[in-house]
Amino acid sequence: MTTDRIVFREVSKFYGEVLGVNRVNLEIAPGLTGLVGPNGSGKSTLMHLMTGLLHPSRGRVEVLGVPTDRPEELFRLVGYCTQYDTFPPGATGRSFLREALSLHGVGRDEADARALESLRTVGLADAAGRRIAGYSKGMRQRAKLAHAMLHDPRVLVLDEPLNGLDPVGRSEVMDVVARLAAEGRHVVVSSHILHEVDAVSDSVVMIHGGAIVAEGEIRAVRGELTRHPIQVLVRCDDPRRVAALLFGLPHVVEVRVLDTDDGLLVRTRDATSLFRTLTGLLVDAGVEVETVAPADESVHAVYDYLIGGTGGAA
Amino acid sequence: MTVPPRTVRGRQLRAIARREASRSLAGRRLLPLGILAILPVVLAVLRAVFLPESRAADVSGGVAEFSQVFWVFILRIVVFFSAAHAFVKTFRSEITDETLHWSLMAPLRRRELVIGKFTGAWIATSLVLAASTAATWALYLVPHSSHLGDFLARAGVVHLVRYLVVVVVACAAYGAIFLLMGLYFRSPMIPAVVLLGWEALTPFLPAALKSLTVVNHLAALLPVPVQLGSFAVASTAPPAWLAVGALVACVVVFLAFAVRRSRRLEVSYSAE
Repeated sequence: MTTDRIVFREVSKFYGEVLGVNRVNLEIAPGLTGLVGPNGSGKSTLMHLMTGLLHPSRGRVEVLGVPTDRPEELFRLVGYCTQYDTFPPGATGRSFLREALSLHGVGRDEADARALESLRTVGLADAAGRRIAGYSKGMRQRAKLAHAMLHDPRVLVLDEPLNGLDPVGRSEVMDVVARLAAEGRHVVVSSHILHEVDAVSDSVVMIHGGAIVAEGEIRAVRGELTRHPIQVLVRCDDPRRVAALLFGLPHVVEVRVLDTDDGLLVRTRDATSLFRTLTGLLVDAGVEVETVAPADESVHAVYDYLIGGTGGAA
Repeated sequence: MTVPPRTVRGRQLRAIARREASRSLAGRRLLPLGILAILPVVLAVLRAVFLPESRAADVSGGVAEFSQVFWVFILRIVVFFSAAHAFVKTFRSEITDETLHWSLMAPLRRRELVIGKFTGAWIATSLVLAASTAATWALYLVPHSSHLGDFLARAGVVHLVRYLVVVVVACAAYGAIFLLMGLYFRSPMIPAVVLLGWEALTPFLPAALKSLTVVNHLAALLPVPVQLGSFAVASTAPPAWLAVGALVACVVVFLAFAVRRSRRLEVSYSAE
């Protein structure tokens, strides 16, 4: 099996009669992968399967060639920030991380120094000696992130890592996540704040009802959806004239001039042909163009289409 | 410098055991263990206070009384329920506190996790219950203090050491059983009561079935033979080496099942 991928082969997970995920086939490459789906869609189940906290009812999961039923190897590679907001009773920030390092086989003195360093990295150095039970939600989230990154893992799995963080914290976390992904690590992130993941994701996995509904690079995923029209925003100085020209093209479904009268939205079944013909059309008409861009390539819009919604402009 | 895998595993095992021992000896988890451990001490204090002066010279009576208290109360109630509490909690408390995932996310084999937790809980229960037993034993002898010279010179310390060995071995044997129960049952109370009933039946079981009880092997290690009552089925106690061997085998077998079970552990708190 591929040793630089996270691989799911025909993976199903049932909780008794209830379906968790169903026949998942997935390969996750290095870089930042956004995991998108509504509550109860199976995101956390997929992440638990990836980290061996759940065992597949059927199929097989391997992380960089390591089966997930070998925690002694798996958790040298993987750091996991779960959604659970619970900590060992009585733990302080420092003792929590020191204990985690000692379970990695790190000696006491080194573990203590590294724990403090990690807390400094996530901005919790001043609260190192305080009990985690007394931390704010955002501080607990930072402690979990510090735990996940403590052993410098090659694979980082973050389940809703931005929960409880203020805007500055969110931005800091996403910067760290993007940097780690740029270093060639696997970073898998799920989040409710999709545009933040969208902005830095290399690829996206969309899950709904326990099944993967789409995966790949966001633009490519959108391109695969030929049965759904794509929406393109054209900002120009004469939108009504452009609209009249575009109506004549066979693959254009709808053209709508913006209320601000400084552009138009074009819905087409063949984005490639539209982009190809649009340039020549606009030059010939002598229209001054400011922007031509896909208007709904955000994960939100793609996801809406995929699960049967109406889609929408960004 | 790369640390050899055996050194890493040793450190991990010690870390788990240390963590489990400190958890067993702190906070809410200590309370039932502490209460159980103090009960025989309170009993011994009351006896020391209210023992008639006329019985002060009866050292052998005091020794026999302690042996009965040890057999009926300390071993069958205090050690049994302390082990039930401490060892069931090793995994079960992490499931109910929703903190099991921290243990399962450690890069160590489930074998080390189970053995580390067992060792930590064993150390904690052995320390508390050995201290309780030693204190109770001493308090049983206090009213006879002016007549103890001969007993102490002849057998006193050996008696105490053997009682302590029985406590430590009992913690291990019952502990392994209860650790496994904690992995299988959400509420291990019913299987624990069944085990208690089975252990209580020991005197009345035929020899072949007696060998399947923990308490029968523990009885073979006691310094003073136990009075089982007139309805007990007579049988020859196994030699001490065989009793210890059987109890060690019991620990190994139950821990092996626990390791096997732990490999299937999942984090699914909502299902609990």
